[in-house]
Amino acid sequence: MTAIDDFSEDLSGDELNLIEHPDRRAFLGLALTAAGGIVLSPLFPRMAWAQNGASCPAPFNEDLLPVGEIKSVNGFLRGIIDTQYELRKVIEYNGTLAAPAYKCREHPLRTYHGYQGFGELKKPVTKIGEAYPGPTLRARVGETVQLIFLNRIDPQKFPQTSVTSVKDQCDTSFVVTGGKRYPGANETFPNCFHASNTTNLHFHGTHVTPGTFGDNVLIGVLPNPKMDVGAAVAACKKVFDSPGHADHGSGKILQHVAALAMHSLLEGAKKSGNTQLAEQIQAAIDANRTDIAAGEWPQYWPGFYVHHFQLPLPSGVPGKFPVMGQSPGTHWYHCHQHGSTTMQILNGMAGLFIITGDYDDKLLVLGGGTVAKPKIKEQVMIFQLFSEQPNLVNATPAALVQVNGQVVPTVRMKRGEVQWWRIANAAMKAHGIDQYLFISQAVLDGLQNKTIPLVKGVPPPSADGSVPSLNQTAQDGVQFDWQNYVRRAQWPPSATAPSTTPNPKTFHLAPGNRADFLVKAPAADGTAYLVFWPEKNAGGFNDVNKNVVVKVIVAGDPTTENTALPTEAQYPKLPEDLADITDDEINERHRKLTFSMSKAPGAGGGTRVDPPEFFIDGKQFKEGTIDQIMLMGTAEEWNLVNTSPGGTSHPFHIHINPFQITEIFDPATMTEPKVMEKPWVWGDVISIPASATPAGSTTAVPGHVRIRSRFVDFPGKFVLHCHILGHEDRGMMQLVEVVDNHTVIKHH
Amino acid sequence: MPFQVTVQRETPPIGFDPSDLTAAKAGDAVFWLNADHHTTHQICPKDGVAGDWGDPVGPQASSMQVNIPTAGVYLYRCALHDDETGTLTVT
Repeated sequence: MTAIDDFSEDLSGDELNLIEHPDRRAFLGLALTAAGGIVLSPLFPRMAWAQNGASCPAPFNEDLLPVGEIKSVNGFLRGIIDTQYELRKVIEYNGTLAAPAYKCREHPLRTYHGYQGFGELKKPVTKIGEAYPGPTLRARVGETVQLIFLNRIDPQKFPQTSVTSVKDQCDTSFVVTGGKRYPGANETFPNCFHASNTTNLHFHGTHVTPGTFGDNVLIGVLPNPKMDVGAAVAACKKVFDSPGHADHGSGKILQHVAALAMHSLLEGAKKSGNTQLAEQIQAAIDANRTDIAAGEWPQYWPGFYVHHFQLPLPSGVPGKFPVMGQSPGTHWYHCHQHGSTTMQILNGMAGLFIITGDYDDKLLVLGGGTVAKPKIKEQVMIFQLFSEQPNLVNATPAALVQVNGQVVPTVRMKRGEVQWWRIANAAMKAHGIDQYLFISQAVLDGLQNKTIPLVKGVPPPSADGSVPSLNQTAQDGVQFDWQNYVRRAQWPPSATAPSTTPNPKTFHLAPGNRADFLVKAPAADGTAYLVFWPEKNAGGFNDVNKNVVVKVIVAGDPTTENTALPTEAQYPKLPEDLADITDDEINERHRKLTFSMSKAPGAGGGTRVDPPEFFIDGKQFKEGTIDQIMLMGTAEEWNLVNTSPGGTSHPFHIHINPFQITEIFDPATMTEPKVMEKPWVWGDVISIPASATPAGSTTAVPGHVRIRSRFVDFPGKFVLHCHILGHEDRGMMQLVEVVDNHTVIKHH
Repeated sequence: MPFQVTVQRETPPIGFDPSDLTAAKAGDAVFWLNADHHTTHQICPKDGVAGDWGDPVGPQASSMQVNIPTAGVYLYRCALHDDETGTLTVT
């Protein structure tokens, strides 16, 4: 019995026509071309030729532009995110300010195109042809997300791998001067870069179900460039229109259509004579059958998928163990297919997800504005790198950090104005954490002409009153309590300045972190710059021109602009579900996860051809093996340990539930762990300091972080991992499960 | 910026196309695409041995990637078919 036979009994007349009528089958668009593509492992025939000589906007010379948005309407966030191959212009720095300091090149990239609603794909809200993030999604807590995700990447455009076997294969590259470049000697499938045209979506920071149509990163959407979008969208919309649980009602309908589409893909591959591609698709079909027979959600989808979930409000009995709601704040989404996350996010496959709520209502009325007509100006920024391939596969020019697709855009402020900046760090720099700081024009000039030296590896402080000041209101999309806002809690705690001493000119971001600030302009006209520097600069970062992110021009007296910072009465109250996790709540406090590397990064850093391997608890990610099981309705304290040498910190991230950090230890700068002050700050990414050898000792001491988290709802499987995605793709990830009963068996 | 060279011998023209690639710059990648349906090729340096640039490239639109870290003139051949040769000039 074929999969088509399996499902035909449940199909409508129209859907049956898709089986019986070859034209209708083609209409559904579910066949790949004869040239083939990638399924379970990469098979990339042919490519497109990119043209150079394009022109880009000049860095430092363009005002910051908002990213196009898909917004909720009448309680529903409805839209389409369409993934496609596209040639996009990217600005590169030549390494010197001597003209031409920058060049503009077109690169073949995998890109997101966003559409409001489910109509024809003619008017994207996102730009085409230049480096650009995915559409910003904006919805309010309590509303329902209904997104259709399409993968129309043309595999023919990305022939980045040799094909020496039909499946279970890493991307492979050699160097013309002889020898293999990638994969490294010890890298093996699946913990290597692979399957780079298969993708999915992770809604980073959402508190929703990890299964079915929620924040499900365990599915893979196969590339299907010839798909008929109209038919695919119609099939996906049935999920939204049909009542019932995904496993039984609406989801089953889409499973049926997907099964048909997978067979159509298979027939197309067979007809073209591409036996290797056919074998890969058959393997995907077989995997889905196994999943379904085991009562699991099918893993592979033929070019389309649906995300359908509510952004939950907090619930539960006041004063009792709270049931967490979705925190309103600055969240984001990005690709999360194991093995291809690095490649795709370097191509730009990320976007912001702004979730609004009471927190916003309080900040929007500052200075006498209203929620509908605020005086405070919101600046939304997503930091990204744009590159064709990870530097392990091919060493490419170091990419500049771009903001909303722009290089050093300008933010304009009036004297004393207070703006609301939302920042998401989607730039996957290899260092585990970066320091961001405002510097004045004088300091920038001095760094550029070498009259001002770095101090302990970073730019020196600028004169008071010459740069804006930072007042942090949220971390990782979860608001600060008033006390943390007042003392500027420095989250994540700085390893080099681990006290909570207020420092209103700097903050820290690890890959994946977000932060909200009320940024106050100085009282005098002037120009300042937001720059980043590695937390621990070993000497390799001494050209400020590579590290400038945003330019700020302050000019003129405010007229209608907001100049007020909130009083305690005006500041948004911390919801009860974000109260500190108490000792009495803790069900398990002995869980320890150890992040390790096989060796130090060494000379050549990320570009070396024999890079280190990455482990959690001495093991690499294994599909289907559940490494941690937590009971639903409990809270736990975890000790996250990092034994990695060479100053390599690892940004820990876990999906679905945020956590509080209670203690941090950086052996490079501390003699004993620092216990964090209450109320503890919430987050979902924390950089675990590397090991170090204390002065006078010969023994390395690991760094660690202690966190607490509540697993209050949403049973199911999801992942934790290092958010340096090159580490995650290559093994530093675990599968975890929240179970809703008390029978716990740890699987190995 | 990646570049592509196809190789085939089941239909003319036999060999590499382009046989002399001159547009690549240091830092680029080159992909060799096997356009044949039944024939395997194995690209390697002219003065090297089979395997220097990887395993054989199978038929039916398989490909391989070679990165070019430095400028120079690189002569190459198919280790399985003596009459297939090409040049890569990198600036």
